[in-house]
Amino acid sequence: MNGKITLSILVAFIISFLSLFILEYTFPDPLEEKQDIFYSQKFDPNLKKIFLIGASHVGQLNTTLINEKISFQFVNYTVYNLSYNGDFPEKRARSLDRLISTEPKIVFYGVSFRDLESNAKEQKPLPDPKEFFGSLISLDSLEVGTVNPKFLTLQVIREIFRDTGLFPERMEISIVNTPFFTYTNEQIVIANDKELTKQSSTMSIQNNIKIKPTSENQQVNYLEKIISKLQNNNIKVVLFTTPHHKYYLEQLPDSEKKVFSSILEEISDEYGVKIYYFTDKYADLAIWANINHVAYSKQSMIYSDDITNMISREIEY
Amino acid sequence: MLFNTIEFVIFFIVVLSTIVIVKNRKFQHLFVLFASYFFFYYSSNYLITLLIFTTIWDFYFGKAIWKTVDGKRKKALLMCSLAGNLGLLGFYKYVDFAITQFNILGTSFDLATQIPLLNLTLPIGISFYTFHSITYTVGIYREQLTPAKSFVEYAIFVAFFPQLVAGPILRAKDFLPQLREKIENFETGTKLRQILIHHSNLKLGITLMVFGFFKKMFFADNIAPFVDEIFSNPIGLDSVSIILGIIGFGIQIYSDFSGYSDIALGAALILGFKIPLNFNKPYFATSPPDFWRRWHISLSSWLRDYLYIPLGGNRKSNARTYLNLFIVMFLGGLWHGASWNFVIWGLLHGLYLALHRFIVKKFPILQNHYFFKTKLGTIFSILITQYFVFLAWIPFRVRDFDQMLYSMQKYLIFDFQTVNILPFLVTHKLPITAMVLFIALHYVSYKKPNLHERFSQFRLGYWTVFIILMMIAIIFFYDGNPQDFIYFRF
Repeated sequence: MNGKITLSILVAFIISFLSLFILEYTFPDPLEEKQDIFYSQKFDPNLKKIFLIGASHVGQLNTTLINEKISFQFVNYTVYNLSYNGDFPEKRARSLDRLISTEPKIVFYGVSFRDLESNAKEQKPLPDPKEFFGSLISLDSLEVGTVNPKFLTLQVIREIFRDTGLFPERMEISIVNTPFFTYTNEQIVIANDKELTKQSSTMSIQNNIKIKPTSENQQVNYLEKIISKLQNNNIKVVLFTTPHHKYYLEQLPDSEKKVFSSILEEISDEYGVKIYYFTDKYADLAIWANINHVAYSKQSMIYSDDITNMISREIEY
Repeated sequence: MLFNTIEFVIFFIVVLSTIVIVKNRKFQHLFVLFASYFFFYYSSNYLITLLIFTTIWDFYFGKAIWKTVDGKRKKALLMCSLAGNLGLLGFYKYVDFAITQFNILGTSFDLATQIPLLNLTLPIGISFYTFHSITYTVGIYREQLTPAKSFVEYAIFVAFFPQLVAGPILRAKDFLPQLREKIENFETGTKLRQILIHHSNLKLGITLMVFGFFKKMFFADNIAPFVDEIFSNPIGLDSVSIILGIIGFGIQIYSDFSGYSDIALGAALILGFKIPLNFNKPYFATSPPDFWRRWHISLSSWLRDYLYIPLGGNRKSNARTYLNLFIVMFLGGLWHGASWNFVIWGLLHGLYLALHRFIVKKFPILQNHYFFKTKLGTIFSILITQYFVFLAWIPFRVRDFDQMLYSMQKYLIFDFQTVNILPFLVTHKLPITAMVLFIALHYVSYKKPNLHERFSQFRLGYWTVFIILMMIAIIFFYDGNPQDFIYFRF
């Protein structure tokens, strides 16, 4: 009887996980689909491609304007913003080969504190079995860890009830040379000081952002791997730190800021990568959608203009 | 090691397989101890030394208390044992809290020096295994049990992995006899019990575990972000948001903790051990004492037997009884964490218990009034009790004093700001749906007790379908990051 019960449990495991994989196959991740389309297109071989990569902080750039200015200034150059929400080095590393296959000239990687946040293991005085067993039962190679079942399920539910009006779709704007990023109303409007104050009081940044030094930081390892792989493929890499509002920076402990800077300095020394700092450049200006993101708006063009200048300088260099 | 991780699933399969394959009793017992220590060491690393210290300390004090004939010496030995246990608990859990209070006091007296905080890591499960261990020495002192026959047996009792980090709080007199063969109903033999996995235990245990995972991973983890969003800064929010937030928290903490208890009970049952029930539909309690007979039963009964009764219980004057209630609930609150908000929570419950006792004593007619025996009367009692229980959840959840007072004010005095209700509900569809589903299922489990037993008695085919459906609900709403159990912090 115990054997039958065990078999039932095994069947239950197989069926439930299989259902998840079927669901994932039927409703693929929209980002994956967008990446497939972008990377499989035929690019004009005469055009030299400049890629901006990073998370939503980079997504807020007005790449249409940047591209216009760059292509006007430098013939045969075109700029793509390949940022997407929730990007971090580990995630970016997964699509790096496809990015390299398109043979860009320069890659500008926008890095923020959040990108280098890591769940680094605590230093323990006795041997840590988690390290040994963790690597034994790692599901990374199967890419199981990349699936967020809850996100997928909610996406399917939304899809099923699309016509009922139960889940009204948010208006999202897509920009041609920013293929993986869309803009909603909240990202376009500049928030007032009252809203920003409220955000900063609810975000608890000091408890959430913990950056471990290079030796213990998995994300830094991934970032280094990305840089070295790009350089090995004759692609120039430039890093820039993305901007934050003063309320964000005030809450972030100095210790984390120091670790972040020293990591970037180490990378710059080791890989000969140039770094542009925008972290606190607009901290006081009224250009913010929230304390983390410059608004995608006419009044916030200063950020895009500075990035344009950075790109021009690096093309000329 | 968290129950809701792949590591635990593999660990548990390995433990069960080894026990099934190797039938040698001594080996089985040693292996359960080794597995329990590994389970603890996996996430607590060097802090396992505290667990081993507590075990050795009480094992030898238990023996010494048993051997001593002289009453005074017996008492002195018990005091030493308690000092060791509570000293360790106090040091690791409360020393920084005490230093902070001392520094605050010092500042108000203009003292220039501040004592630096020690910033000690709170050892996981210390509140639980300390209380387990105390039941052993006190039990021997009270002559309710004889000392464990071997160190391994006693160590298994303290470290038994299903209940090690968040209970239920075991009592030595209930658990130790389970390690020996049963001769008759109340007698235990001298032979070690062979650990057998019986099919009825296996089916019931798995059902319980699946129930536990469902409570934790479907309800608690999906409601938690909603509660966090509201209570990260509740100031400025309307009454509806606060009330929904605190209902959400009540459901979250119940699902989280009773989910853990169900997994613990199920895992222990599969190995053939019975550990006490920790929850019994607490949100259907009809009075404050009834709530404590249904909520965290192993702690409330521990506090009753090892604190309230030794303090005199209700055997002394009325005033003393009320004082005892407050002392017990104050310490019960403090047990949850070194913070004033837990003390407030405990004292509020002390107040509820005292008021209930006062009303029942002063107006005995009320208790026997026919209205309270009707359906409507029961519903009325449940609603009133839960109104106050949920009010007390506010200080449990909100640490900041201003935010706590604001939330309590909005909960107690409804502001009739109803304009934002619909958009609020629309933007939080998943947690609200989960909350409604929880209320419906909680009602079903109240009307039809022992649901897990009923499900486990299904024919194998139907039972498998039921398990598949539960697993699909768990997996499909899992967000990819295993969340800690709330009671791990205590």
